[in-house]
Order: sequence, then C-alpha cells, then structure tokens
Amino acid sequence: MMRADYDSKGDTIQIELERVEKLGHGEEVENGAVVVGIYEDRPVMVDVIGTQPGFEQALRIAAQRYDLDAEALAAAARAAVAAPNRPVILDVGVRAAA
Amino acid sequence: MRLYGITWDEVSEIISPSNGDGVDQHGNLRYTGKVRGLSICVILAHDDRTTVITVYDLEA
Repeated sequence: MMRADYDSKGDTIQIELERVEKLGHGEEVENGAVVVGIYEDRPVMVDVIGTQPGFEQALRIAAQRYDLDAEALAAAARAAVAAPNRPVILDVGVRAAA
Repeated sequence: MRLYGITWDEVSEIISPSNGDGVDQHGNLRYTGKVRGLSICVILAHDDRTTVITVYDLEA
C-alpha cells in the first residue's frame, strides 16, 4: 500500500512506499527530477520534483532502476495530483492472468 | 527533511551563494553543502525563494 501526497505550493509529489522513521539518503534520478529515499539499502520513498508534462517518464526510469512497479507509482502520482494537499492511500493489485 | 534528520538551521546554513549548485530542469535553485559530515541538497522554488521544495541527504 502506498501513500502519496501532492504539495501544490512546491509542485512535488511524495510517494511513501514503506513507513519508516528515518531515511538513509536520497538518490537522484534524471538529474533530480525524481529523488528516491533509501533506507537500509531499499527504496522506501519516491519524491517527484515538478509535475510538468512528461514527469511520469522520470518516474518510470526510477521504477526500472529500483525494481519498482512503474504502473503503481504512476497511479499513485496521478491520484495525488487529483487531490492536492491531501494524503492519498492507494493499493494496486497484481495484474490479472490473461 | 524530518526523515533525513536535517534541521531548519542546517538548511539555512546550506542556502548560501557559495553553495549554489545551479538550477534543475524547472529553474529551481539547487544548493549543496556539508552539514555534520553529510552532503545535503536543498532545492528552492524558482518562483518563490522562500519555498523549500525538498531537502535530502546525498550520500550513501
């Protein structure tokens, strides 16, 4: 389950993958368009800096790099932007078998 | 910011002309500096220099 929040003043989306008390460090993706928060060598938070058209591409690249679910991240980001300045909680299920 | 254990005083220390690190793709100002041995990046909004967009620890 993810928790996402869009801050309209800063134009940033914070997607919490796992609730942690502290982060280790941040790793930049696509020149800082996305910052992935790392805790104990695993990604636990994804920050999107700016929601200009095409920001989802940086999110996809981050997902690929850290073996995250790109579709779930995109869904969380869109949900957060749709309800700005409010936390959005999202649970994305596995893909149904064809 | 809180999750990285960085304080507002430390952010203020980093935001100085000597720590300027250019701008990001949106024109937001980047500042990078060391605090307590940590490399910290602070991003200020391009259209409002009083708005801190994000702060994070750069080092692994």
